[in-house]
Amino acid sequence: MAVPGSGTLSLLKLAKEKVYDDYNSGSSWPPSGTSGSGINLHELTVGGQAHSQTHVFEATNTAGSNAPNGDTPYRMSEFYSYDHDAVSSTTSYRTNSGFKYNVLCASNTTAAIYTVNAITNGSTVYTDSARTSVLASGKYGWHVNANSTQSTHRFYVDGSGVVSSFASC
Amino acid sequence: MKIEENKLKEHTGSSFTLKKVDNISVLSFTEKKSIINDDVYAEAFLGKCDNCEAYKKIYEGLSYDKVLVGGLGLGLIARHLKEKDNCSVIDVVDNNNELITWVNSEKLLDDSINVIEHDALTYTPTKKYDLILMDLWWDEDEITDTIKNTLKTNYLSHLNTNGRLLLPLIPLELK
Repeated sequence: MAVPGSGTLSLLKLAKEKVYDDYNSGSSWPPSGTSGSGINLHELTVGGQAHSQTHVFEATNTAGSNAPNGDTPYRMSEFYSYDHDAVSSTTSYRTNSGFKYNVLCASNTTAAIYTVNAITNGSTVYTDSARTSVLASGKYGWHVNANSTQSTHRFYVDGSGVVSSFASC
Repeated sequence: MKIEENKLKEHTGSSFTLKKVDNISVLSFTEKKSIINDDVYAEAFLGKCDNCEAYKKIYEGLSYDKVLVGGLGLGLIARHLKEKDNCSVIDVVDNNNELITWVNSEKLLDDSINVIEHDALTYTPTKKYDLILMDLWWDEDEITDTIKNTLKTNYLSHLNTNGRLLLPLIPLELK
């Protein structure tokens, strides 16, 4: 779970977001293998280790909707909505929904869709780059390239936006 | 080949409806069984698309002038065969009397296109064709082995030399 978008922030919980990918993680602090429990906002923000006995923080992940900018002065408020395990959306293109795969394979791809990685069976397809709205169920044609290109593949999406029957045209 | 939209009026029948969606006609038999009035429909069924290698492959090396189409719909395939491919014989077989009556009354097809009212699965042609194309299904799993065997039994003997019996939805050539 990412850092909340508002309210009071906990430095310990920010550290857990960076270490356990979960702001509200119940895992113990310091992480195993670390003897010192201190947390330094500088290292928490830019990555690294404050002292030899403290945890080595990973670099900040900028793929999500918000991340600290890494410049001084460092502020805990820069972590609002930070998601350490966020991944970038992969953009591809689809046809309008249709009922026959061969027709969809001949149709132009006219609308952007978003997935975490390259689309394949089991992917969840979204209609926005923030990946908050899933694609409506139905059959679609697909192409990796920009709009108005005839499909190279076709797929089916269920009511949860999950892909199946992804295949070449 | 799509129909000029001004020729199509919304219609509600007992077995189908024609509705305008964003000014484009959609023929629907049920909620999940619709045909959009678009050039791409016939192009897909005749393998005329850019990237659909599997669908184009069943047409490789085939030239056709006499064609039988199983399934009428909006008549988009028949219109393409007439207007774009200049085929001399175009027969369409369909068992939906209401649809045939409507297509005829709206004059959606050229007079030279012959629409035969019969179940396409059991129809016995009276002539031979270069291409027999079946467009009777919506999903791949509807086309069972029993259906394939029935089609082969009924139609293979009605192909001209080098003619083909095709199921473009899958896509598949029945031999």
